[in-house]
Amino acid sequence: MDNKRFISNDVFLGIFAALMAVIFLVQTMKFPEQVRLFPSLALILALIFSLWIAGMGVYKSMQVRRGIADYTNPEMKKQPFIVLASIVIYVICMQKIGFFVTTAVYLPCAMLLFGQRKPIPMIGSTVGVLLFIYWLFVIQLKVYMPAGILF
Amino acid sequence: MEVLISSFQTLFTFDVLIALVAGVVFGMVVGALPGFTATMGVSLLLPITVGMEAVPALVMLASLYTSSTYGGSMTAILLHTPGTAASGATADDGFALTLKGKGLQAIGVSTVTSCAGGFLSGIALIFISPLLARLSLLFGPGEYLFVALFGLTIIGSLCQGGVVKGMLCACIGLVVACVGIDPVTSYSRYTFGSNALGSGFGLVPSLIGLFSISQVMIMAEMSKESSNEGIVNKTMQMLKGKILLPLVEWKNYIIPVIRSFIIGLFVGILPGAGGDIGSWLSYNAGKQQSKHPEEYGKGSLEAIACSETANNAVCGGALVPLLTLGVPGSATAAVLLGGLTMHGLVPGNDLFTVQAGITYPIMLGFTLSNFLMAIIGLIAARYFIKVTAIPVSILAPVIIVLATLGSYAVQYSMVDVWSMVAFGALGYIMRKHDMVTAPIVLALILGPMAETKLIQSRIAARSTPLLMYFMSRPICVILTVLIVISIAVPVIQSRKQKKKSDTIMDEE
Repeated sequence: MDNKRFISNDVFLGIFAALMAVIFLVQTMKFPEQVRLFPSLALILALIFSLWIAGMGVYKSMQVRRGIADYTNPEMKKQPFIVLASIVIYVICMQKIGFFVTTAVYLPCAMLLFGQRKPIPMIGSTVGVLLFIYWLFVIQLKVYMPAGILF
Repeated sequence: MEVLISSFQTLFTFDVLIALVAGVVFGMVVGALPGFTATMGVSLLLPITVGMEAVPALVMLASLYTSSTYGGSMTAILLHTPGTAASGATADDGFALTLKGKGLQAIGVSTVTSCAGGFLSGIALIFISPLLARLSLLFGPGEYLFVALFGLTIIGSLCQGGVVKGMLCACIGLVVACVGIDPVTSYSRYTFGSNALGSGFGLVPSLIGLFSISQVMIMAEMSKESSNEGIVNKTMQMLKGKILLPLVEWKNYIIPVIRSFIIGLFVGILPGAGGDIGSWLSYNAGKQQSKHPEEYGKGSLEAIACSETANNAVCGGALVPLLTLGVPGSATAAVLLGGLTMHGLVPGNDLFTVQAGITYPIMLGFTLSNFLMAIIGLIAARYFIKVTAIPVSILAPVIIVLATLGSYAVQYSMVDVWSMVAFGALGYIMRKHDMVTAPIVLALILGPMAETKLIQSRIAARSTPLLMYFMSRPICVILTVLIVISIAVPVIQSRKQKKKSDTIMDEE
C-alpha cells in the first residue's frame, strides 16, 4: 500500500467506538437519574478512550506517512465471516429442523469449509461427536435438545 | 479440622473422583492444543456442569484450570508451540532441551514443578481464603466498588494492545452488563423493546462466544492443510531416556520452586493478572538469582522449573480473591465465577461458614488434582502431544457444535445461542484490532457488582458528597492509590520502552 495514503485502522476503530458511545449516551440520558448514573459514567469513559485511540491512530498514520514508523493494518479475510455465516445458517436450521439432523449435515459441510477432504475422518468424527453428545447430554445430563420438525 | 475431614469424605466419592479425572484429562488436552486456552476450556465445559451437583461440577472446572496450564507446557517443550500463553516462558528452554535429546527430562521437571506450584497454591488457598473472607466482613459497599474498579483497571492495563484499548474493552463490557432490566428500579435499559433482552446477555453464552467462536474464526484464517502430524511423529522419535531426574538433582530446584511459588501466588491474587505474567516474572527473577543465567533461553531445566511452578501457582492464587471477594484473579477465574453463581454459590464469608461443606471439597479437589495431573503427566505426557496432530478442519466444526449446544443448554434458550454468535463476531473483530476479550468478561462480572455498590454507597453516604465519603474510608484510599498505580505504571513502562527502542534505532 502507498505509505503516503496510509490511515491506521485505529482511526476508524476509535471514531466508530466514539460514535457508538455518543448514540448510547443520548439514549442513556432518557433514563431516570438513578438508572443512568453507572452506564453514563461507563459511556463517558468509553468516549474518552475511543477518542484517545482515534488520536493515536492519527499519530501512527502521520508517522507512517513521514516514513518514521512502519505499521500495517490487520488484514480482514473473508473465510472467518463465511464461517460465521455458516454458524448463523446452522442455528436457524437447528431451530426449524432439530439438533441431531442439522448437526449430522452441518459437521461434514463445516469440515469441507475448513479444508478437510478425506471422507473417512469426516464421517468418523461426525458419527463420533453425535454419539458422544447423545450419550452425554441426552442420556446422562437429560438435556432437552433443540427440536424442530425432525429429531 | 472437622470440616476438612468431612470434605475429604465428600471428595472421595465416585461422582467427584470421576469429575476430577475428567477435568484433569480434558484440561491437559485443551492445554496441549495450541490456540486453546484454559478459559476456553472452562467456558466450553461450563454448560455441561449445569445438571451436576455443585461439588463435582466445580471440582471438574477447577482441576481443568490447573491441568490445562500444565498441558500447555508439553507442546511448548516438545514442539516449541506453547499451548497456552502461560507456557510462553517455557518454550525456548524446553525446545532447546528437546533438540538436545533431553525433551523427556524437561517434561519431567515441568510436570513435577507444575504439580508443586499448583499443590502449594492449593494449600495456600485453603488457609488464606478463610482469613481474607473474614476480612471481607469489614468491607462496605464503597470498598467493594473500589475492589471491582481495581480488578477492571488492572486487567485493562495488562492488555497486549495497550492500556487505552484495554480500558475501552472494559468500558464496553460495563455497558453490555447494563443491558436488561435494572435490578433496583426494574427499568429496562438498552433492550430496544425486546423481551428477550430483558434479563440481559447470559454470562455463559457471552463467554463461549468471546473465547470459543472468536477462536474458531481465527482458526478459519489458518492454512487449509494445518495438520502437523509429521512434526509430531519426528519429535516422538527424539524422545529418549528417563522422564524423572535422579533424586539428588532435585535439590537444585528447591529454592527456585519456592521463590516461583511465592511470585505465582502473589500474581494470582492480584485481580486480572494471569499465568503468563506470573511465569515471565518468575523466569526473570530466576535468571537474576541463578548461578547459570547464561543457560536461560538455551535449554535450562531451572528456567523451566521457575516458569512452570509460577504459572500453576497463579491458578490457586487466582481463586483466593474469587472465593473471598468475588473478584477473579484471572480471565479463567472469571469464567469459574460463572460456574459458582450457576450453582448458587455467592463469594464471601458465607462460602467458608454456611457453605463450607461445598467450598472445602472444591478447594481440596483443586489441590489434589495437581497430584493426579502429575501422575497422568509422567505416564502419558509424550502421548498428549499427539492431540496437536488433529487437524483444525476437524477440530473447529466440533467446537462450533459444542459451543452452540453449550450456550443453549444453560437455559434452553435460543436467545442465548444468538448472543453467543454476536459475541463471537465481536470477539473476533476485537482480537483483529489488538483488543483482548478478557476485560469484557471481567466487566460483565464486575459491572453489576460495581453498579450495585455505587448505588448502596450513595445511600450510605447520605448528605456527604460521595467523593468525601470514599476518601473517609482508609481501604478505599488504599485501593484508589492501587488503581492509579495500576494505570500509571504500564503507561510509564511503555513510554520508557519506546524511548529505549527509539534510542537504539537512532544509534543504528
